[in-house]
Amino acid sequence: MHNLKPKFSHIYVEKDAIGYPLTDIALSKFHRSTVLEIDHYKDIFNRPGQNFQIQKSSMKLILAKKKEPYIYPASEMVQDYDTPNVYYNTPILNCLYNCDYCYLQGMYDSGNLVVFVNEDDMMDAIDNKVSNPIDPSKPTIISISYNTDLLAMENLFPLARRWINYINGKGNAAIEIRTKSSLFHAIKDIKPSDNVILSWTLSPETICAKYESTAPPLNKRVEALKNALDSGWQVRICFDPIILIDDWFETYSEFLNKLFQEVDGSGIRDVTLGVFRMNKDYFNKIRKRDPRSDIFFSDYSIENNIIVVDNEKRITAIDKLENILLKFLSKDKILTWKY
Amino acid sequence: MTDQMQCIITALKAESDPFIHHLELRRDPTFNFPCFRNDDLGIALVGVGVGKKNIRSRINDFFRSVDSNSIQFINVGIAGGRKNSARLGELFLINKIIDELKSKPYYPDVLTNSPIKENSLTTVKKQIVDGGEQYDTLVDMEASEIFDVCSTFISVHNIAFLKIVSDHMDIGDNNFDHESIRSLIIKRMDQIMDFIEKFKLIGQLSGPILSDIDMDWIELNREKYLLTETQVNQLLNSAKRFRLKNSSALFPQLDIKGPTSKTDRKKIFQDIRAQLKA
Repeated sequence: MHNLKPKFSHIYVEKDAIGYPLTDIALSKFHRSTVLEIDHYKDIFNRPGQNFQIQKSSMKLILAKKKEPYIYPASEMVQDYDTPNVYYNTPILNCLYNCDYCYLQGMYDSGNLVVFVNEDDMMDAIDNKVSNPIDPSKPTIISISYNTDLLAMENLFPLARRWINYINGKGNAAIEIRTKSSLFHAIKDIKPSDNVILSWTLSPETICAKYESTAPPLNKRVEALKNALDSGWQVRICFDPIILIDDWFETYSEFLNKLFQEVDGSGIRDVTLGVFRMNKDYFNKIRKRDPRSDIFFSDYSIENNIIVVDNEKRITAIDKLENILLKFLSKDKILTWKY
Repeated sequence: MTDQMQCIITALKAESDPFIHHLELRRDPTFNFPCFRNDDLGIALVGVGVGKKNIRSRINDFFRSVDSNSIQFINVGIAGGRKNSARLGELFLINKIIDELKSKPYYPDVLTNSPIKENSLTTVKKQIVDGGEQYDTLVDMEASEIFDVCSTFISVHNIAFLKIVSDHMDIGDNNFDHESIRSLIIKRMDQIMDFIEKFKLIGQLSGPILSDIDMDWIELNREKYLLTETQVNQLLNSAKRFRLKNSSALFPQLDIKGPTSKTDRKKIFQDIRAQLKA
């Protein structure tokens, strides 16, 4: 909208973030932006009375130095990866995209983007976890794109590249970079690493258009995913969240059948499958703001503080979709969230 | 209820007069302080006087009197600026407000795509007359309090600050004459009004899903079918879902008799929701 300032018209730089290479990259990339020095990123990001969605229309960039904790245990809302050594970290808070169902709009008061510039501290924390795993016989997996879409930012901040270079060769550890981006070409020159899982979230075209309209369309994501597979990367596909629209079975079955005509299932590391679900507090916070998405005005159950499609409906949906996937993938490659 | 109201906040009469004239504002006699409005334009002006002392009570009184689901506050006024960094008469949009008595600054959202140059501002308690070398920002006497008060009522994206440099912090009270301040505002009137028009569009981005007519429909059904609070909340969600899918369609006209029992009420309620889903 031309009445709004362009994205990143303003950069707020924490005093402690000055001098870091990522800060310099950001300031040179957006040299026409208004730069304001701040004491702490929370002075901007955690202000009361912000409107997440309006700020998303004219996002500002906040550069900050992350303080401890640098790493967190994985949420119970992610699929079981067959290892207890699963963590996530937050190199960036918030996302360039703005999917209707995204929990970030309930998690954060601000729609602005925070980039933490001290990656080395976050990497040291991972080194520490990798050296002291809960179960030493299992791998340690860290999702580094959990509260953001790291690859979507790669043309602005080469973070995925840095993280891949960092983790490469680290024995029994892997990072997962989850994305809806089409920017695989930004890291295409890097040698594929066994320590990296590139995960694309895919949805049927109608779902992409209606609920993920700010992310690249399905065909662009599939193209990026195929390029990654062809280049020899480990690729995960996330069918998550499944949105149970009225004709969900026809929509998803057609989508999956078509997708696996294009993508060789045997080359995929694994897939995840889960229906829409969200922490109840986040959900209620979003709904109170009158979001322009019917997702927040449908009927759900509440189970252990999670808003979720009711038990019978979701198990039926997951089972039916799993059956379709079994035509293309072995059962051990299908990670489901049924709760 | 009006759709949207914008309220200009000024400190001095000389700042208010040009807006009263330009926007054809009429004094609202219900207030015992300067409050002017033009309801056709959806715009008002509140005079708060110099300094912080009247700001909270006047904005509070005004806000409580407004029958609007969306209000924006725009503080327009003069400010001091350092000789080497601000020209007299220059107009600035404020992106940071420091209160010299508080540790945390205030950051208004800067979302409106306006060509007005930006600056930071320090709100001080007493007028600065020594050249203000210690301030690398503009200086005024109200903005931090206005932000503090207004942000308790509305979202921060609906508050804006425009300041015109009136002096280089080297003159006393006696040299601020009504006419020169009035003239500073008049010279910048077009730019200010252009900003206010664009700013209005930001306020329009955050309206409620359901209109007043939609809410009347909910209320009608609540009364007619003796709905419980939980049922009303569920009906609101169904109604919002319907409205998001059908932006201009009318809600179904229900020709069902009032309930005769709780079971009957439950059935009626389910019927209403089913009709909204259809």
